[in-house]
Amino acid sequence: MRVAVIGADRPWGALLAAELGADFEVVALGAEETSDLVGYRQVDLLQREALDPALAGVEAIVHAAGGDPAGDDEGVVLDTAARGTYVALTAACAVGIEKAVLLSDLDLVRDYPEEYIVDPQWNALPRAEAGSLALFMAELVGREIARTGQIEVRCLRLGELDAETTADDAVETVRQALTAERKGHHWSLSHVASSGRFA
Amino acid sequence: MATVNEGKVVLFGAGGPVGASAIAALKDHYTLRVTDLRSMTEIAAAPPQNPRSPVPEILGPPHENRVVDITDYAQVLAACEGMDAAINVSVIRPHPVLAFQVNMVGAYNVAKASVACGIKRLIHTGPFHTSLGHNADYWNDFQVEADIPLHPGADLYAVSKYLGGHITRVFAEREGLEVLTFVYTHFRPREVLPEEHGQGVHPYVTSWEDTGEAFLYGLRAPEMPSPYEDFFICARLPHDKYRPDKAKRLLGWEAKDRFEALYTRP
Repeated sequence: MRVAVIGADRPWGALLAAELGADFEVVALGAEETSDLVGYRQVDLLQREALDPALAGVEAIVHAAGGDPAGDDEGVVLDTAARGTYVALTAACAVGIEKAVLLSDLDLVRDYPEEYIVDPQWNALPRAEAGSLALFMAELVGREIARTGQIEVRCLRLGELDAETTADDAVETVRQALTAERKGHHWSLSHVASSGRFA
Repeated sequence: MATVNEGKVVLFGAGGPVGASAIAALKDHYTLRVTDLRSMTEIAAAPPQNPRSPVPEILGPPHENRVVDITDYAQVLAACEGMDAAINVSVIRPHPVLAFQVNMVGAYNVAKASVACGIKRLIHTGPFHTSLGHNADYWNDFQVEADIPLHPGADLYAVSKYLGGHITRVFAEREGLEVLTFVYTHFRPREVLPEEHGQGVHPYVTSWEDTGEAFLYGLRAPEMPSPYEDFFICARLPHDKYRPDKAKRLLGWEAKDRFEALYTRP
């Protein structure tokens, strides 16, 4: 299966683009000019005109830029997460891709009291600040586009790399998400924690 | 108490017809700071969006007209200073970049600035897309109430406004700002022309005049049950497809225009 990792210039995206190569033909795409990844391509991730041709022949995408947007400006952070996810998923739909994995962050449920056993059935609790809302925006875009039935979106909320979620667990969970058959809904949400309160 | 019976109100995106309706309804009750990306003079001189859509009246003192780019937080913050309430009727529909900038980042800027300036009540606005071509768009449903979660699908305009709405909700729930969100679908003039009689009516419709008056009720309504509340701002029609009952219950507002001449045989 040919898989595009969108946001391969971000920490989780770079890791997944490197590690998924054992099982998939990986197309590594990112906004940064260069990367150490073999075959990495710089693409404007906020423009359909740029992304559409990069997805030719791709069967699934891993969107790693929505849950980890780069930038300091609040408007840019929100825009990168929301519009970037919108562009990625609408581009995927346009070329007939039927599977997407959307990376998000466990921070969206971290404000529940520690003593609560929180799973994906608990409502997200973003904070009223751009960084937290950006994660939420990306998830909402993914959920609503999945609701149209054109593409299956599996959203994985990860913890801090190698602190709360190990690289091995993240890679294995993404691999399974890419290969699993859809059961019913086009949107699903999972927590990926190797240790800590969400494990 | 978030009720705003008098004082100063800032309007964002006031150059469109919804803004024009709000200005007409509020100008005699509040001191308005009317803002848009373009000057109000320029807007008033341009043709209306549609031949029968209202254009904003240019107000003189004590009101104020100001050019504000809603995507620029510093400008939005300055526009909110000294205000008792804010109304955001800004919108960009088809542009792939500006739709997110105005409808989402703009909503963030207004909500954040409202909190920073101690504004009591924010009236946010957005669309209710009754038919988006997917199975979860409520098009085949009836007795639809304002508290349903919107399902914008992949529609650019619907999604970007939907995100802005959620941002204001988070500010309401986290920061103590009271947010009332008014949603609309189809606007039309109050006057029904003779040639329109019996031509039918969209099941979610609001006259421009009722649209403006709803803002007055929104500002003056008592404290809401929750810090964030959605409202259908539309006429109660015998179709019984979309129900604006919550607006009557919590705001005391109901549409005066029911457009009977449009859906009864001449």
